[in-house]
Amino acid sequence: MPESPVPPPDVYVPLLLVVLIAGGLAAVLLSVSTVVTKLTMRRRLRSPTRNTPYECGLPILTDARTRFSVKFYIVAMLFILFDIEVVFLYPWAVIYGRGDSARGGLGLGFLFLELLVFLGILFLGWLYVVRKGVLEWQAE
Amino acid sequence: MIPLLLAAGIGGVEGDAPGPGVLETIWGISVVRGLAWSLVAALLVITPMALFAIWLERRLSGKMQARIGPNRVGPEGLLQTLADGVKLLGKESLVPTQADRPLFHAAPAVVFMSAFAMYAVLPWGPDWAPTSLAVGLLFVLAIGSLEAIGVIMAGWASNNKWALLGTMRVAAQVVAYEIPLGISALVPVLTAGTMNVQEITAMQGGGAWNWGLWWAFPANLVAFVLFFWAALANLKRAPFDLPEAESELVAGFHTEYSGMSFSIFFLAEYAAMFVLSGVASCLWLGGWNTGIPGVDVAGMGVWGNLLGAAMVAGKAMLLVAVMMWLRWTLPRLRVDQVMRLCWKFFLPISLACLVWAAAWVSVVKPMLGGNG
Repeated sequence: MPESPVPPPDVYVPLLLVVLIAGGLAAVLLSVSTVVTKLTMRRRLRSPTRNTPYECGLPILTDARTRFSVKFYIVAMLFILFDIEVVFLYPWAVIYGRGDSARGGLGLGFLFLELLVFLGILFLGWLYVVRKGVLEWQAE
Repeated sequence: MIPLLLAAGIGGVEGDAPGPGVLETIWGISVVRGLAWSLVAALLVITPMALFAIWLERRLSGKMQARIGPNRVGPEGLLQTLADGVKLLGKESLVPTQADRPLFHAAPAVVFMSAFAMYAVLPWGPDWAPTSLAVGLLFVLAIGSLEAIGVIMAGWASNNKWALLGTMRVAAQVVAYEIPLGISALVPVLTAGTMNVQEITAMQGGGAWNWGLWWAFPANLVAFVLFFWAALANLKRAPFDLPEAESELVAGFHTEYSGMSFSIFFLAEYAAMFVLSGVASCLWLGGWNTGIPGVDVAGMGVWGNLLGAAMVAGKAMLLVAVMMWLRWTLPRLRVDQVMRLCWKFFLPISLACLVWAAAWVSVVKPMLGGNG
């Protein structure tokens, strides 16, 4: 497969188009719905309780946006760490099979050892997280 | 078909105009044509596919619960979803008083957009791919995770306690399962040496034993299972449906959504189910390859492409049907169980698959002297 460093714009145009059209389709559906609703409703129902957030029918006392457990944020932090590893691994995985020449003939065995070093460090981090009890969600 | 149309619109540049004007540059033609074709494709392929999946879910659920399900509108009830869509078009979309209005309205569009954008790299036949993107798989994962942002926007904007609880569950769950999803998709990338979904599919020609499932045995087999489960969790499907657990959170993040904005969430969910199943089938189940040694789709022209598209759609629909089957088979997990399953089991197992696949590429494959 020929690989040019800069792909032609034609490769990315469909991506942009699909994204735009999907967004446009959603917007069209929503606005058509709004128009149809406006036209077909005989009279607008108005009452203070009609547009309150769904709850038990009682007046809403507090705002819904409250604070959350710290554990929740730790999951987010772990995600960032591990997701960056995954992003690093993607380009590596693509060139791994032909890594032989890229590393001046050091051989795939050497690249495999390098992978083990990388994943070993990652695994140690994971072990630390598990041992710390970060992944236990039982209430204390 | 989106790939045919897009390929015709963008890939096939015809050199029939000797003296191109300003508007007739290749860029102009490809953009305008592509725009028209992908509009048609979005209306004629992606949306019907999602509508069909919704019908399938309702009928299958009916069968599994020993009831009939929708069977009145159209043959076998096939037009039921369309009728529901028309009905929902006339339903008022309520906005709660304390909601963040711009975010509230933008959220369904964001979810819809991310679900539909994933179709851009799904190959349907040897010559039918909307785009042959070198980083195709990365695009699927990246754009797919945008869906979580839309969902979080929806829940936060609603300013409803149920919605916000559901949203927080979505955030934790989708974010956690993104990692096994990414690593298990890395295994075929490693064995194939490319992220281009079309190229990975093309490597799986011949018999069903050449499918990605059997590469670097058993790394890809395990990776496929992991990808499927992680996809289930990312799609918020049972048994990972606690973000919208009816019995505890009303409807989760879309509690406050009604009318068309609700049905857009619904449509997007089924579109995403189908496209993730399609990607899984292209990575591991041969994609547009038939799996029968004599029948090579690649050399059959338009009919081969049509057959390929049928294969992709069939395999993907089969996986979608399995997702629906699981919904009525497994009970819902608890939040801590979901998290434990991901971080303590899926993550290490997927890393082990990766190590085995790497070992296979560097040690076993040279010894076998082929693609194995």
